[in-house]
Amino acid sequence: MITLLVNGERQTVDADPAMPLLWVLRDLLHLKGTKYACGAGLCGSCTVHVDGEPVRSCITTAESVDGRAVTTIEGLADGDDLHPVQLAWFETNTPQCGYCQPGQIMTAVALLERSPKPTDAEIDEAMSGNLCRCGTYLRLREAVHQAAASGGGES
Amino acid sequence: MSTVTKVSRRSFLQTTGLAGTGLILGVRNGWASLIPVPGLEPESGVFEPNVWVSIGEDGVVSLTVHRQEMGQGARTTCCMLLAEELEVDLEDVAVVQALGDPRYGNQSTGGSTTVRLNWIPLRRAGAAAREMLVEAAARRWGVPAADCRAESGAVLHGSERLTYGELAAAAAELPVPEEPSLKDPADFKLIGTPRRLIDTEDMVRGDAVYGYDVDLPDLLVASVERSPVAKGSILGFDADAARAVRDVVDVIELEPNATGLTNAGVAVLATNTWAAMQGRAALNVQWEPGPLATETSDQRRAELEQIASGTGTVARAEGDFEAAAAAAESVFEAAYYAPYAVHAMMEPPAATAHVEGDRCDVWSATQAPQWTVGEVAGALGIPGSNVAVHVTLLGGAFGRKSKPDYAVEAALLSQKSGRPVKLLFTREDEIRHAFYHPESYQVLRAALGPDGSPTGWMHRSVFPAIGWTFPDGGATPTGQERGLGLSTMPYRFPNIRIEAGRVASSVRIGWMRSVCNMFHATAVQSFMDELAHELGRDPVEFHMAMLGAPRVLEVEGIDSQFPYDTGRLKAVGEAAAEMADWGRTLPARQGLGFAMHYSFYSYAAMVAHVSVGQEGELTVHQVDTAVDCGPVVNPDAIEAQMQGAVAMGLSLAKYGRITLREGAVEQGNYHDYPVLRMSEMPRVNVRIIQTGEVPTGIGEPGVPPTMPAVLNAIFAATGKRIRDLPLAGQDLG
Repeated sequence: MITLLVNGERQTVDADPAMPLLWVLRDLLHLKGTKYACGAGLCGSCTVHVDGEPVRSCITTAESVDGRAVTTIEGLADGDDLHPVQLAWFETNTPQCGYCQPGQIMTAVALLERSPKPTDAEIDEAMSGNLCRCGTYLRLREAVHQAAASGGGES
Repeated sequence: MSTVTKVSRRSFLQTTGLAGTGLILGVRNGWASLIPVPGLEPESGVFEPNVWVSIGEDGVVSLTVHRQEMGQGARTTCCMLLAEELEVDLEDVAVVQALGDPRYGNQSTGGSTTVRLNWIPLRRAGAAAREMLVEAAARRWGVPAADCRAESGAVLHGSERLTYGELAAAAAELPVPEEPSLKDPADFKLIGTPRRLIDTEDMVRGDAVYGYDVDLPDLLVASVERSPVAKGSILGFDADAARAVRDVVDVIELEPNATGLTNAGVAVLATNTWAAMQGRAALNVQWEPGPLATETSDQRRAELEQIASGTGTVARAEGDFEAAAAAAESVFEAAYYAPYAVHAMMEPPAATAHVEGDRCDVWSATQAPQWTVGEVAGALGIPGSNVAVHVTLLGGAFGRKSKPDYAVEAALLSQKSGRPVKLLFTREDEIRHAFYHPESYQVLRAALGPDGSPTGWMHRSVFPAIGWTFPDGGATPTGQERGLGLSTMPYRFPNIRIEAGRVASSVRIGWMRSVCNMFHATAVQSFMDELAHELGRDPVEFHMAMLGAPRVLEVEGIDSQFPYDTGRLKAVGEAAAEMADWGRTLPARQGLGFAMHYSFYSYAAMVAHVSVGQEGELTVHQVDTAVDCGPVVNPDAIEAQMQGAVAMGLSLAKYGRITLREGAVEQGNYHDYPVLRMSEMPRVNVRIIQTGEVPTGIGEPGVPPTMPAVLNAIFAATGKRIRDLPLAGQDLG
């Protein structure tokens, strides 16, 4: 049995210890906001936070996160109130198909916690591991700046 | 819509996520469950004048969207067209995603057709409903309908006001007008204004439901090991090893289907995705690769060149090119090659099916719900009327999700296992079992007269046709494929000969965002640039001179209802050049490149600004683009689509390459099929030019000019002419 604190709730799952956290979240805990896209840590779509640090959940085993705190995209908003980073994404009309955006948002939240007012170069460095095939990169960068301006990193 | 509910419509929406025959995507719009609720009887008083509009007595206005959302904004745009004429606010409507059903007309979301083909029908649907509601109110008040007006979901007369909910039952009794009057565009409130996509909040919350996210009670997840070579067959596999994996429930062999959409495979079904993948890895399937295990990319190039040295099917002939070439002072020639490419959309194909007796529900991230109905029904041997295809959001598609192969596999596995089955492609499956963008080899010749004036144009394009995929299809490109940038060459050459060559392929060919336009635009626009330099002329000046006076070009592959006006192409070309300050002096190893292209009845031009370092490192700084896609519905989505098209075109130019070894695809994930990253994204300035009377394509037309604009800019910066794609691995230093 593996025990996790997911979005503030204690969860116990009976999972193969080698099962990636991605599938624990999606299939065992039915949290579908975290996305599969490459399964190999190449695209960032599955990004979640473990003890506050961004990780690729598709290559993070269940046993390695036993007893740790996991935050997913579903854990960002406070009820009806979007997290400032989500709000910035919303206000800049960033998503097209939207599939990569939970991973983009989780990466940006971690960036802003580390660096509340990032430059373009810092944003590119932090976000270039997150692929978007719709090509929303320009609005993504703008959204990170907007979130930074609204104090998204200090929430 | 045939099914209406007895329960309050609002609570029904909230509890089931289903309304009428459709399903609602996302929590914000009421999605809570994907499970159909049986036994609901029609409710009286619901006003449904057509398949798109439904208004209950409780005042809930439901708009049904019959096209699919893959990021291009179709759901929002369709709602804008309906809501504009219906006079409702977009924020106040429930949005229903239609099932695959012939009553909606063509639902296939491809070819950049959604707005062009629904501009009138959806506005009429909204206008008909509005006229009936106004008439119902006028009768209630005993006043002429002409004295009433509709606004924000209510009808007004002086100080009197009745909401659409209050009028729904009475409106339902009135005849549906056959020719409702459409609003004067000057009175548009929604159309032409920037609108956020309606699913945005669900997306940023992680609540949006894609094909991968469908969940049902008792669901099994399937992962399928397929033949690495199309049409290969199974020699053997270790079912016991797969069954020994924890949480694996079943192992099922899949035969290739008769329509050529699916190949042989072995499916592992499990209670979770990880177990299905692990079980699959244990199968150790032995394959007989079959007759198509022949094509190897290194040898293929020579075959294409050889075919291009012969003659092809004539797509367009004007004057006599051969005579012009014989009489020419010189003949300028160049050849261009582009490899196979694949979509690599972020969400790999995914579909869920639940077969119960002779009925089947499918939940699929599909561009083609009607085709899915037909294929699933055929595969299961049940009537199409017994198949309900619910459409989720699509996590990118770019043409791949037009093919219903994955829904067919899901349906067969549900039928065989007796349980609902979610069939998931892995990334490797997506790359290796795609319907590929065809590789191409093109030869172009220009005959030049004694004074340097161009007298003849010859273009021969060799690429495997989409028909190659299907048993009854031919390998010769069709007129429609030739109309994608080959026969549509816009320049005024007195003698023209355009041909398409026939070549087979060992992989299945499909549509990918702008399809053949990509390589045709690359060749035509590179060749025009080369020709300009050969003749010592400024490229933009040369393009404009060769376009000459505006004309309507009538060539194959163009629907004459939507005329191809070369004057509009010229206008976007001049606009892009102006935006980029064409002709300005740049530092060493920097350059501007120009390209323009007509596709999907729209006109797009670009100027790329690049620099190339001493070591050959390419930076694309900026792309200035002008686009004319007719009257604008959602300018924000147009800007987004042009930005995205630049990203996709640049991805393909830099990296896009699928190679084959003995018929099998060699790439498998983003490490060996790279795509553009944020750090590589140029600034993109978009200018929208509105002419014409009908909105035309916007999802695709930005892709084709991107590649030649960048290649021409590289030439301007370095003097190196790149005729083979991709750029990766080539020395630009």
